[in-house]
Amino acid sequence: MKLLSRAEEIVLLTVLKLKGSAYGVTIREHINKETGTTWSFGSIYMPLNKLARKEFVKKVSGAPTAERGGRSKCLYEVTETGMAALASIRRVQEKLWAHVAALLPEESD
Amino acid sequence: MPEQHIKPPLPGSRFFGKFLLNEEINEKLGDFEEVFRYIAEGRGVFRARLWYWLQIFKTLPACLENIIYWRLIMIKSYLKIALRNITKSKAISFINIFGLSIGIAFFILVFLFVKNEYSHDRFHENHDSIYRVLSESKSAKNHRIGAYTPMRLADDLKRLYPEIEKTVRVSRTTPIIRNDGNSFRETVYYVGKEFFNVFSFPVLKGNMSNPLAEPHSIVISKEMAEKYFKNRDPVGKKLDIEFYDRKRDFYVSAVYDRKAGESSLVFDFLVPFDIYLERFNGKFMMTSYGANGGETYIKLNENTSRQDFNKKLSKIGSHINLDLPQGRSVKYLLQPLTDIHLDNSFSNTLAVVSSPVYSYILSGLGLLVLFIGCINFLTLALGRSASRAKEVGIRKVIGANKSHLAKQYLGEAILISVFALFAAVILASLMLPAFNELAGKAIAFKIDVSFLFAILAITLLVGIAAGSYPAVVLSQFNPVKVLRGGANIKGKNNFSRILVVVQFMLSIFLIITTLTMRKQLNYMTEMNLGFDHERLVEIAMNSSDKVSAQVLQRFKNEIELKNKKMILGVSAAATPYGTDWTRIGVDTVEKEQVKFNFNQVDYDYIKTMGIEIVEGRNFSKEYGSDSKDAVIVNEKFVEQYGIKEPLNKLLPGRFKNKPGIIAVVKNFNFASLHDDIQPLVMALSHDAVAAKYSSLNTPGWPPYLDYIIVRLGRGDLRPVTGFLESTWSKVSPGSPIEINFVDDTINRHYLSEKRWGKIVDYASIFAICIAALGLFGLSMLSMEKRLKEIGIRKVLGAATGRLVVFITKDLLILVAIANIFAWPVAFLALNKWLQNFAYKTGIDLSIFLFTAFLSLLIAGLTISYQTLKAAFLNPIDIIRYE
Repeated sequence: MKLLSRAEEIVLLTVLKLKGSAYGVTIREHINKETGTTWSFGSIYMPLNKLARKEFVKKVSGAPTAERGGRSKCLYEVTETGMAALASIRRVQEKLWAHVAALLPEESD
Repeated sequence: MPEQHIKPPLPGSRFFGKFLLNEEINEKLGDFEEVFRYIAEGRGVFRARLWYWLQIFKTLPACLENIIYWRLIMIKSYLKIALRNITKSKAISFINIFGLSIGIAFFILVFLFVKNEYSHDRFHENHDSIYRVLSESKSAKNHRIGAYTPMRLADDLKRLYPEIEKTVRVSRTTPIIRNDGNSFRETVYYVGKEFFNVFSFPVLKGNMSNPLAEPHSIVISKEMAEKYFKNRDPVGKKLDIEFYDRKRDFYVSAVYDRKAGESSLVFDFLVPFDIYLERFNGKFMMTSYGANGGETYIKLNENTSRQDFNKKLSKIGSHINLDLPQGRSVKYLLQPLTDIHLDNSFSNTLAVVSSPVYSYILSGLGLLVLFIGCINFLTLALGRSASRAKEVGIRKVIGANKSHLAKQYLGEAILISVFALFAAVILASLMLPAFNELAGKAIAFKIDVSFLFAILAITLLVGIAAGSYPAVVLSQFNPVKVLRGGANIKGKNNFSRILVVVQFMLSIFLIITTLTMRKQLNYMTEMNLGFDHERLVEIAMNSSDKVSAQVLQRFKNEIELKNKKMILGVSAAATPYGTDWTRIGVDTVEKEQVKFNFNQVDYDYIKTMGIEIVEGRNFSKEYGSDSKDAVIVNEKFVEQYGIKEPLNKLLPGRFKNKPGIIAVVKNFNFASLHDDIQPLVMALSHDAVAAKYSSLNTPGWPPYLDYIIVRLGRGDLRPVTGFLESTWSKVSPGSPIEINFVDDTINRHYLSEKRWGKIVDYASIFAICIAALGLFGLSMLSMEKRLKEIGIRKVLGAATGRLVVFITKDLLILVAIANIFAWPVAFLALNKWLQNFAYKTGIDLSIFLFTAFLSLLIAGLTISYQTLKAAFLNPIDIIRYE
């Protein structure tokens, strides 16, 4: 299986964490908060579209709300293949990061 | 804050919506609106709007990527289905692609031809500001525009009009050129010094800057350098040229490329205009406005328009004394260099011209063939619509809408025409050499931007033209009806019937045209010309008056001594067959003009040519005065000037020697059959027709016997021509012999008719082939549909023969209708075409009947395979499964 890209990984993890309340706005908010940088919707949608094509996430349409101008939400959920993809990227990351901590200078805070 | 203020900007969301798929509009616009409101409430509407717009542009790439991704997937699927359909019915696809590719190949050839025709002389750097001066002369009865102008005009124009930057005058002659013991008669052009500054012919070797500066310099074309000097460097080499009686040495100053681009000025030898001046300076040809000696080209400066200058030029008479006869006016006007090639209205011109009619004819033929190919596609697509109806039904049930389906079927048509395009490019490149041969051209297969653009445009156009109607029909099927079975697709049958009729109508039209053109051609070549054109030979003497007379006498003596069987007669004339005789107009006492064509001939001319004398006697040496005042006229002359009992009457008109008519001959053709018979006068000497008070003063006057005419006996031609050559070298040593068979001249006259006849032949063969193939496909499809019907008929006892008739009848009726429609169209078109000929064959009913028979036969044979297959099938095989 091809590995996830970093953006895909971040978005997929966020969808997983938000547990059923993951849609465009919440995903973006969460990522902005976690990474400390401002992401545009474009940089969220691009990995989201790719994840959807690979069926790592599935779309569920939610109820329309007033603050959305009466438009329905599109909620994202991680599928089983999505989980597997996360697991495999995690394995790779752990292998790569193993024994690296000792070589890094200590973080100041 | 009121509710409406915190709506996101409408243009923004509309714009953004265009980049979203239907199913993601709610999701994405909703997300945007949520954040927009949040910002608007916290930091104000202005900031929110700014954010909104910025966000749209930041998000566009992601949306575009998504759209393209899904579109590609759809296109892939369409392509897959299209390819599946193409391979599923191979015969039909082959017919479609074959027909279209022939059509497109024709189109490519036509495109190359027309482009070539219209690109002449555009390679000259200044082609926009170079013009040829035309002369327009008017008198009470006459109005003519000519390409020839007086040779002094260039100097006068340059002096009078500062707008003219440069002038070049061109005249020509046909001297004998010698080098290394070889001698050839060539056409040499006298050109002004500015020739290479006005035109952009590249100089390949030698004096690049001013090759015509020296009086003895000659510039030759690359081809002539090879002919005369083979591999040696020609620059500085000597060429011996014999002008009239004078021999002169010229030295090659440069070699130039006359084929640098498509050019209508095809000159092999250029000498300075000074050589012309040497001969004519101070003489009539250079001093008078009455003699048009050649062509005048000018280059205007950039800021002068043709219209403005033409206006100025029309008043030239107020600056110079044109010295015109009473009642005649002359005007000069400019013709753009780039118009010269397609202007064939001048009988006398130095340029190589062609008729634009050929471009029209060819375009028409190309479009016809392409159209017939398109009709194949249409009828076959409609014929197959029944079998595709289920596909349409399923697609509609799954959720495709009309425009999806229409797009898909249109796409299929375009795909087929793209396949056809590839085949067509290969076909066209294979056909090009043959086409060049037929059209008398040397077009190269060059792929450039305009070519690519043209073939892509025609391919799209063909795809859309052929595919749009089937696309509309197919996409309209009602899925419920179609899937339940028994959809009513019958109405469309009428439309395909009309198409078959149109297709056959066009093919029949082409066949009738071809046959009639051929008949006209045969009629012209086999028509009695009024003299015996077979085994008649002309030999040009090309020397002066006195020398010619001596050569003729020596030639006659030699022949006299030798073989009598081989040569039946020798005579001579001033003008050979196929060239216009000198036009002469002489006033009568009543101040009217007698106009006729004159030829100075030798004693035995009438006998040698085989012209029939109606009444009177031939010229004879026994009557000493024949050489002064005897003329022979033709019947047309007698008729036109209403002379009763013409023998021994005086020729009407005021002539010095009072010539008498000694004989009337039957009308005969001296030029091509495009022209009518003219009144003719023949005399032993031009003195016979010398007018009393004025004298002709043109370059060809006075005439002298320049052409020996020899009548050959029966038998092998080779020894005779060999004999003529050896005799010639004895009587006129050192000058090349030019033997010309009159038959060849006649054939040359009809060359263009023959060429275009052949091209139309091929076009109609292809057209009928494509139409027949289409009919084959159609009969195949309709037979598939009717197999069960035929099976049941057989079971019920129909005889095989009756079945064949029954099946064939339908299609044959269509072809018969096509005949009925094609006939009047063909009749009118041919009638128009035949107007071009003075001698025309009638339009023959038998050709029409033959064509009808032929078309029915072809149609019958085409469908016979299917019909017989159906008629001999075993009914069990078909109706078993139900």
